[in-house]
Amino acid sequence: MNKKFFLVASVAAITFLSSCLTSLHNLVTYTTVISDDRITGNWQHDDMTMKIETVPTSTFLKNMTSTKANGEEKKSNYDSKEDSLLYSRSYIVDFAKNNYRYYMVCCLTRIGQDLYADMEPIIAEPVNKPTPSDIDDLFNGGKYITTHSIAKVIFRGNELELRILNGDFIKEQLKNGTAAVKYEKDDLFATTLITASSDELRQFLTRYGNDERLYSSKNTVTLKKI
Amino acid sequence: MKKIIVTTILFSVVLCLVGCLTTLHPVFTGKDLITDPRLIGNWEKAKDKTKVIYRQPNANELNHLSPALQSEAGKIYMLDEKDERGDIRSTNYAFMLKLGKYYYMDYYPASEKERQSADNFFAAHYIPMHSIYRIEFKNSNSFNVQRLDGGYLEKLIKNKQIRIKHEVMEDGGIFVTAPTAELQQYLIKYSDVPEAYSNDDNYTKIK
Repeated sequence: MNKKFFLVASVAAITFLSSCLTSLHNLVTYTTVISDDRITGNWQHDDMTMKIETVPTSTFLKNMTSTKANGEEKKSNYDSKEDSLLYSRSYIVDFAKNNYRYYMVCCLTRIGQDLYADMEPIIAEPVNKPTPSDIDDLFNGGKYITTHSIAKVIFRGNELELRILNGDFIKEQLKNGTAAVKYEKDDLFATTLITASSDELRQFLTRYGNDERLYSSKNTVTLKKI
Repeated sequence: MKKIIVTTILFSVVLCLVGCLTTLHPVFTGKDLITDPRLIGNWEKAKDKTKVIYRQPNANELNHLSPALQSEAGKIYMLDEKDERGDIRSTNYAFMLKLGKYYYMDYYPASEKERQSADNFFAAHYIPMHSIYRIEFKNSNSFNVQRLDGGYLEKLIKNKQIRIKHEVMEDGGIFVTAPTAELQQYLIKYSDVPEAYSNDDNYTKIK
């Protein structure tokens, strides 16, 4: 039965990628970010443990701060006042898989009565790197742009449910011209990317955020607090 | 914070594509693709002795492409870049086309290492970009590549000297979303403007 469960979980994880649609712009800005520390702690999803910490107290930021650049100690961890306002209220998501450790930044915002998360990747580095300051990002071998995924966040007892927007449904609506959200599509390389601004994304979720078709069970991840 | 993270990463790896004009859409359509048999083989960059290989794609590499591109399989190259130890540091698809009187290359990450190692959800946040170069063969044993300067186009956009589809990013940077036809118009119009190009690199064929 364990084998069967593992197989189902693996298939689900693969399917999950195919239906993920991301946004060029962030949903959450320094004016709309909120803190909700219920999200912090250690969480379990299948056989994977995920650690979520506030950015200022995160191990990731501590390691980054201790890394010297050009022989000089960094004066600030943030690029600007706006950056500081945004990230000081945000979270670092940290998990390991296939011998790589993944770090993502998660920013929360409230739209109406609902809580949403904006997640963006930071780095994927080998679990066993020679020294903590060595950086070997998995995605350094080519030219990529990092994008954002959006999820509705629901706390239920000791469970955290991340209902990531259903890319398949949105792509279908975009194809039919029935989704009022700006996007780019390249058929030759099968790329679709939402290009709506932060305000437009917010308006989209204000209007359609409670439409159940925007979410699906295969795009929903339930984490259990440990 | 993101800038610092990126800066930190760049200290330890030298990216060959930094500063290049990168676009969401390709600069070619399937019918624009051409071949040049001189390209296949091992090459060395004169400036820093970096070694690269141009080769035909294998079946697995072709499988990751759309059916429209797979139908042009014979016109697709792969570019392997080696690090100082001789290990392959990155692999890109390489597409060749001719616009006006010049030849261009469009490089696109092949992502094999990333595909095998990365968490699917994490990887879905990385959108591969097209990096645009101009290529000129001097003879069958040497060619020159010039990088399309992303900074030059950014300056044109910010000074309102050009109308080309783009997005302004949170940090004020420009993300070019122009469709293929618009990109080709840009390449043709600025083909003889030296400032539109940078980083002249010469490659010599090696065994």
